[in-house]
Amino acid sequence: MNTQEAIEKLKNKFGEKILEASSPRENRLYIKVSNDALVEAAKYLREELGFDMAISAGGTDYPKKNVIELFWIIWSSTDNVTLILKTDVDRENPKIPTLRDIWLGVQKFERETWELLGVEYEGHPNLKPLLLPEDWNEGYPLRKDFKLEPYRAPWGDEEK
Amino acid sequence: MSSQESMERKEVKKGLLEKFPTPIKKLFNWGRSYSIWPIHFVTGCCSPEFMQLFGPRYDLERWGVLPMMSTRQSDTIIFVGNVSRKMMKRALRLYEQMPEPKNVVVIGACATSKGPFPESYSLVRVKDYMKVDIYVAGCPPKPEAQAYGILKLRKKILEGEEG
Repeated sequence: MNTQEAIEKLKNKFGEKILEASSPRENRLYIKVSNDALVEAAKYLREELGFDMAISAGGTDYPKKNVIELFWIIWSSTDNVTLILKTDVDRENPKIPTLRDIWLGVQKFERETWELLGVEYEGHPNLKPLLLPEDWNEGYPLRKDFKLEPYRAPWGDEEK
Repeated sequence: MSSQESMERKEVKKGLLEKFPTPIKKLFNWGRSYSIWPIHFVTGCCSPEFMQLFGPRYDLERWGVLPMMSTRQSDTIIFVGNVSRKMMKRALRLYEQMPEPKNVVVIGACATSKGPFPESYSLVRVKDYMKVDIYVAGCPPKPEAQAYGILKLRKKILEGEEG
């Protein structure tokens, strides 16, 4: 499968819901969809275009644009094409349906994104802290407005 | 592990040894200084350097330093590498399980002072949670430096200054 053909197919199927689609080089495919068409697009990518192996998932916080951009990195084992599937969610109320029913491998990455960025994955079976302590309630560390100053280690030996 | 487990600083209790007269204490310390049996709490990238200590070149078993797998039979805990807040709960558990008298050695910048991550939300300093006997500076310290630190601890035990 050619990446340009894949972009054509996606644009014919979803039209305006595909916000950006590009293939800067061979074996790379960048697609940004609007968040209401995410699950259908993911199902189409898995079943029709053959992207079958989950590599990673995560997100980035953009406070000026007031969005959190989420990504899922999926690889196609038949065509050796890596797909980066992106979508935006509202920063104040970040909710997105989970993609673990389509690619089971993203479950733990979504759990990590939930704890570090505060994105709620609807339908995710196990949203519990993974890297942070079990009783963590001090906010979401990977958001840009998380204050690190209270955690700074003091200089010198204050025990004396 | 329950999430309510406390993370307060552990104080060193005065052991039974304090009640004995000085010559017996000295004899006891002399014996202890030749049998430091540490457990190692290895969580970071100082560990490849730390592994050298028990290899053929540095071989700390010459001074009776025998790496132990059981907390109940060891008398020193060696922190090697960065300790996160979640990991510190487990480390305090290990520290509580060790019999008195016990010593703490901290190796590397991360465990000493958070090192290259001074603003980290996740790392903690070991000295906020327990009494530390020996710090070894470096990022990572060379095996010679770590061996020197452990020999310093041995000297400290021999002179009865630790704890």
